[in-house]
Amino acid sequence: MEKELKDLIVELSSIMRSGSDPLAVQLEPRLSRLRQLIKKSLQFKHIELDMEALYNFAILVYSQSKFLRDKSSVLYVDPFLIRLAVMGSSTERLADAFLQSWRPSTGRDVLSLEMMRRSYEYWSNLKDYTIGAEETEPLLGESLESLGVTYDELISEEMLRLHEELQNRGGRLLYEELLGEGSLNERLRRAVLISFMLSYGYAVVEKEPLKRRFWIVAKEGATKGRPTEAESIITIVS
Amino acid sequence: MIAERPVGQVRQSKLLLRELILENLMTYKYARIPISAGLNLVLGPNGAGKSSILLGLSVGLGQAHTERGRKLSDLIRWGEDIARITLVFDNRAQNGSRPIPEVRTDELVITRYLREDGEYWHQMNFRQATKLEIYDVLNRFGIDPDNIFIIMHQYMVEEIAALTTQTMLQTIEKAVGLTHFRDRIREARERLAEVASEEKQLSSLLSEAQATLDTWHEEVEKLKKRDSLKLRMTELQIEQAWSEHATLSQELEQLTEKNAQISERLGKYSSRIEDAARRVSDLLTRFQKEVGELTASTSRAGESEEAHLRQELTHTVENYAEARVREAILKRNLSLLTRLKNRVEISMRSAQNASEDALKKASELGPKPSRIRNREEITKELEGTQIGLATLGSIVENAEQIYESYRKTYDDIEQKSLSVKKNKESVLGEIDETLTLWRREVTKLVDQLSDSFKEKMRSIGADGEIRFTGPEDMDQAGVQILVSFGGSRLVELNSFTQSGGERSSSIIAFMLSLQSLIQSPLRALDEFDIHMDPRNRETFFKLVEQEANNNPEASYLVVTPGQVPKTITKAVGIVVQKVSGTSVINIVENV
Repeated sequence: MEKELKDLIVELSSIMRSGSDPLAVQLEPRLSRLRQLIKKSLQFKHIELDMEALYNFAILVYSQSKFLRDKSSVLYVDPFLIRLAVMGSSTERLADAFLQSWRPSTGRDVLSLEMMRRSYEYWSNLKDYTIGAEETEPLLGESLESLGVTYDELISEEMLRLHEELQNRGGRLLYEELLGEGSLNERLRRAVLISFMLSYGYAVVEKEPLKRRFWIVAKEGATKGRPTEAESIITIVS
Repeated sequence: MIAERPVGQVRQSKLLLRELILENLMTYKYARIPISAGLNLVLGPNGAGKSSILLGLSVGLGQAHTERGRKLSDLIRWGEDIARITLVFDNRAQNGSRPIPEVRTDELVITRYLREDGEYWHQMNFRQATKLEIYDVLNRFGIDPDNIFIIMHQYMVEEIAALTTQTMLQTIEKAVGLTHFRDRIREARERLAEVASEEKQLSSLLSEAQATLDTWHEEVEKLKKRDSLKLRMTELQIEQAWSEHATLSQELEQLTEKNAQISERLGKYSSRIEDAARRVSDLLTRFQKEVGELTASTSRAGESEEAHLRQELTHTVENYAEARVREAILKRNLSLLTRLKNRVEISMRSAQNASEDALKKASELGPKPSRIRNREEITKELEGTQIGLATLGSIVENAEQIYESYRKTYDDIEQKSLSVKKNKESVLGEIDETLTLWRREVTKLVDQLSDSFKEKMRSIGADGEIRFTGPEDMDQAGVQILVSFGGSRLVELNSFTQSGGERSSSIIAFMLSLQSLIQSPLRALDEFDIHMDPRNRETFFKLVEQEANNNPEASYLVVTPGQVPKTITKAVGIVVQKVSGTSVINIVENV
């Protein structure tokens, strides 16, 4: 029986190593076989092997899921479909698509004067479409302080204040609502703070693809000043 | 059924340690220590190097640290730059197969080198081996140098007493062979949680793909509508052609009828002209006659007769003139009718040709419809159809093909995602099943452990019980040791409540109970008796010997600083002495 269990584990490992389509693998008969085997014995070493086999099953299911995700990419990356979708989209829909694809995240190392200057240039190039020239004037300042933001404040006071505000406003707000309707500078400042909130685990993003909306959800128990583990900060909600 | 099965069943094929060789290790320069199955008592005065044997054994098996946090290189004998620990296992065939089949020698030699510069490495049968390879081989037999229930070093009693119930259970699990069980459950669940996350994303993607699919469906509908309108257009064009032909035919018929009418009229005119000509001729004859009569009467008739003749002649002249005029008019009309007839006949030929052309064209376009509307109606519908076509905008000619292909992919992915979801649920279900098995088996193990522990505790006039706590949640589940001394109620064993001797006795009773259930063929205890009174020490040595006798295929190494208790009947003595700063081994076959 031990040999049969080990054979099953080797078989599962071989399937994964072979690189073949994991979706073509029938799990149920193998799982039934495993269950039949484990019913024959009640020794710890067999429970250990049973779990080892189940671990391999879990890896296989994960591979199936990953394979399916890769396969499903044909549903949205087909250039012809994209071309058609773009051509058939209204300006509003294209703008929505841009907003959805825009990830307001940045790292401390990026927040240099030079990068801010480059960002300003980028935004300046867009001003004909969205931003009045007079609104951008204060951005010409020479340091982050011109935005009312400093590193220390980002990590401590300002960010925590925004986090508190988010919590006081129900703990869950649309991104645009949290950005507010203040001046461009104020909205930019809040966008930067939101990105830090997300990066530092004080909030997560919930995406509603069907309604094309992003929610910022306050998270409890985040450790001040320490980025979260490498986990997704974006959750898809239906 | 379960009660009949010994928990943590001993493997049929054992890997027995035959010899331990220490070279340049601590106080040892070169010592060969034979290890026997059964009880091996390591004896000798304090500082002779007894505990170094257990330490050498652990390090040789792969332990990465020493019990006092020293570097491994600190274990090298003073003045030397390299030490070597060699473990010789018996790999002779048992019941027809070697304990380690892939090693085809009677001995398995595991060697560990420790170099002063911090470089350490293993060899297996004199060939370089990774730590993982060594671990893999030893793990098959449950030999884990890091498990304190397998090799209990000096002063570990306090360490064991301080273990949390959770750590206690996990250490027991490892000792009985569940080495990767918890890691595998955690990892499997993590993977399956990722699958659940992927499911959500895939579901979202499928929602978006559904919208694309709908768009393609609309494109297909547009294409179908376009094709339908085009077909209607063709039908209308055929109807229009046949309508054109019908109109032309009708015109031709009208012209033919008109021509016939003209011909008839021409016939009538000819007759009337002939009549008129005859009358003119008659009147002329009459005129000539009357002129003759007048001329003749002038000479012989009177005035009244002449006047009468003149009057008649005038009347005749008038009639003649009138007849000539009438004849001329009739001729002119005939001429006009003839010209009209010519024109009609030209039109008829033209209409005939046009009708024939229209017939040919209509026949080429399609069969004559059963019902043909007038041109205006057809034209109106044609215009409407053309507008309909124009409003469809751009059409993707292969929309149906793309839609079918996309739908097939969509359906395939949707179906497979359901399959993956089902697989995930099945595996999660099986993990739960395995956890149920684990719960049941651990419960039985703890029950057996508790019975054995109680028995051992009673042999020293105390009481004890082992409990499996919080079995519902694997992470919170633990093992609790409860003890009672002097007739008091059972209380949890910890570092504060019991005396040192009570703690030591309880832990050793527990260790001995557990070691009878573990898989490892090697079990070691270092100075477990240090805090015990002579009576308890004697009792425990008796229990150790009993355990050794009950497991003849396992080697027990017991280090003791004291004398060999009188109760011991069968044991090999490994006597350690220090001679000129070097530990020396002497073997006493039966102490």
